[in-house]
Amino acid sequence: MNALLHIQMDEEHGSLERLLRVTRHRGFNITQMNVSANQEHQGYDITLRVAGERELKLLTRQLDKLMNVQQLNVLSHAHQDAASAFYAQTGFSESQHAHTA
Amino acid sequence: MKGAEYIIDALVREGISHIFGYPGGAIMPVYDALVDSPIKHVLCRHEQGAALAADGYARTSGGPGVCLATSGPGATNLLTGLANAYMDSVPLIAITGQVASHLMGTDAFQEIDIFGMAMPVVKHSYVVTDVAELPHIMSNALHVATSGRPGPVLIDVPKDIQLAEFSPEPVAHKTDSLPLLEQDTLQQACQLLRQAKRPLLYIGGGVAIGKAEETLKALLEQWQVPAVSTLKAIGSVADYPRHLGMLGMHGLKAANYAIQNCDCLFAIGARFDDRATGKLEAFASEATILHLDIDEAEFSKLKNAHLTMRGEFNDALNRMAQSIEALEIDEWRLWCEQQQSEHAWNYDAPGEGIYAPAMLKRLTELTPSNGVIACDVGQHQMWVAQHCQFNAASRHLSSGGLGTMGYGLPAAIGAQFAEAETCVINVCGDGSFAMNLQELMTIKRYQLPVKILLIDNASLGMVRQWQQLFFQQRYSEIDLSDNPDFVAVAKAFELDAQRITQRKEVEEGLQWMLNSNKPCLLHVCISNQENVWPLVPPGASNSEMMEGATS
Ligand SMILES: Cc1ncc(C[n+]2csc(CCOP(=O)(O)OP(=O)(O)O)c2C)c(N)n1
Repeated sequence: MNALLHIQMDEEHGSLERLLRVTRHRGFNITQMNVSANQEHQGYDITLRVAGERELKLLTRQLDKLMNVQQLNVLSHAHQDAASAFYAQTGFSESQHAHTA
Repeated sequence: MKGAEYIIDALVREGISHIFGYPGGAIMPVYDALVDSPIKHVLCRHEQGAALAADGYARTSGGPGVCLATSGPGATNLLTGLANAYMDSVPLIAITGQVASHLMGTDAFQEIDIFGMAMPVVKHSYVVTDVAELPHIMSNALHVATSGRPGPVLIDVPKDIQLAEFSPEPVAHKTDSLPLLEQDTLQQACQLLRQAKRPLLYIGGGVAIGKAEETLKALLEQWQVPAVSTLKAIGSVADYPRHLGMLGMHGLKAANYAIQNCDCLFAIGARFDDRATGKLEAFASEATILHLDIDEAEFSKLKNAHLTMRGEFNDALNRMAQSIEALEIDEWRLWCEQQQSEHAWNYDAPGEGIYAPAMLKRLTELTPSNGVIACDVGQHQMWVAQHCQFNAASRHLSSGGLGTMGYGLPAAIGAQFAEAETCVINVCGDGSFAMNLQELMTIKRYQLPVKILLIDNASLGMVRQWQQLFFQQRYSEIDLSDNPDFVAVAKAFELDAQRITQRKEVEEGLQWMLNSNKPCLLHVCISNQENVWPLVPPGASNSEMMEGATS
């Protein structure tokens, strides 16, 4: 699994550390990272390329929970994971939940 | 006003009446501000004790618990308490003093990067870098700790910030309402439940956290659907007759068999923890899984759910009750009833020694219905979960996610401060009791009528059980036969104390303890050979429950 994420984050004490910690702890490797301070939303613009054996949503949902994360988008996501296979096989579909801060 | 005064003022305004803490150099301005404040500060005798007492206070009261410590060792001592609250989603505010801003990053005396150390075990955390930010931080911290899925929040305050004078700007109170379940999803869920022949509710700690116990009970009564609970949900649906009990590693057989046989599992505020599920692939493997939770990150984290539902519980459950009037599942109800009677507990044990499960069953029969039991961790904790009855999850304080030995005594102290009139009992093991033994001094100082039921098997029983069963009886460092005289220990702290060793003394011993209105300890000596049954071996399916003899 290999994915490219775009994350907008508050430029707060420890923001980046939290992002890196959660990524490591939830079992993903960072293969590329770009951070810049953005005046417009007064925060960081981050692109993050991650690789890992686990399903991407296990990471994105945890990142989304961080208080400092304003927005998270998956720009690209290579290879179908087990969850998609599960939903394809069972005929159910994964619910989308509105994210509230 | 000074930063330190603002911190205390803000807590008072938020309705905080108790703080559990321990003073030291870097937090002195806050302690100074406490002198003139209406808040009651409880001096625990170790910061871990303070954090766990705040946790017990929070779980009992349903509101946030607050703990306070100095920088360096004071702050690091809080960490286990923060981790405990994090794993069990308990709203906790930890305020730590820090060295002055200009000394941070210089390895100053008692300077530790507690912000960095605590990061993995907090929902959020702050370092105050400018006193003007304090109003915003205090208000946000309380909001974050108590809203959504609750958790601990750390505020690290450098000493110069505590001393800085400023004129605080008023802050708007943050309130955000929980999302409501979309109608489409609700209809799909109802459809699946209606189709099910063998539906089962799997109730987690989230139900009590979401203050939805009453709503859930009403739904259960209406649907007459069988249900099982996690460790943390014990008490949530109290005496609902189709409640099969706790599931999982030391769960009740009826509960585990129901899980394995259901065709539709409706999980509410539960997180499919490994101690509850056993081997995941075999868990509810025939079932369509519906999962209602407030934390999206729990969806399909370990087990894919066919339908995930994010929404406030009371609203969701009420609407489901409207949508489905009754379920036609007579055959399944009967099957579950048979499991219940077939696998009912047997309290007959051979010999004259004290059989802990029978004693604990008797304990809850004698305890007032609003009584609180705070457990430690080990065999006695599982016996409490199996054999005690509670009428709300807030009455059963147990360190579920972290399994923190030493939790029970400080948690009981917190509970007793939350509810001065309530009967609060700490059921502990001889190993766990020693982990926060210093808190007997807190009990003595405040003359808290906490009752300690010390179940002494002269060993680290749970570890001994595993060594016996899974490590070929190669016993390693589990012997505690050189324990001190616990009655004498208790008396040294001015607790009343008695010892019982025979089954025939149980009734009188329990009566003595429960009738006492002073701090007291009942030292109960049991066999060191007793095991907790049933047991799902690690990695096995929940249907593979081992059962052994009682000694
Ligand atoms: C702080 C901590 N250290 C170690 C453990 C591992 N552990 C789990 S249960 C247990 C034994 C507990 O012994 P005791 O309190 O006497 O209870 P018993 O099992 O005998 O009822 C141990 C060491 C733990 N859960 N927590």
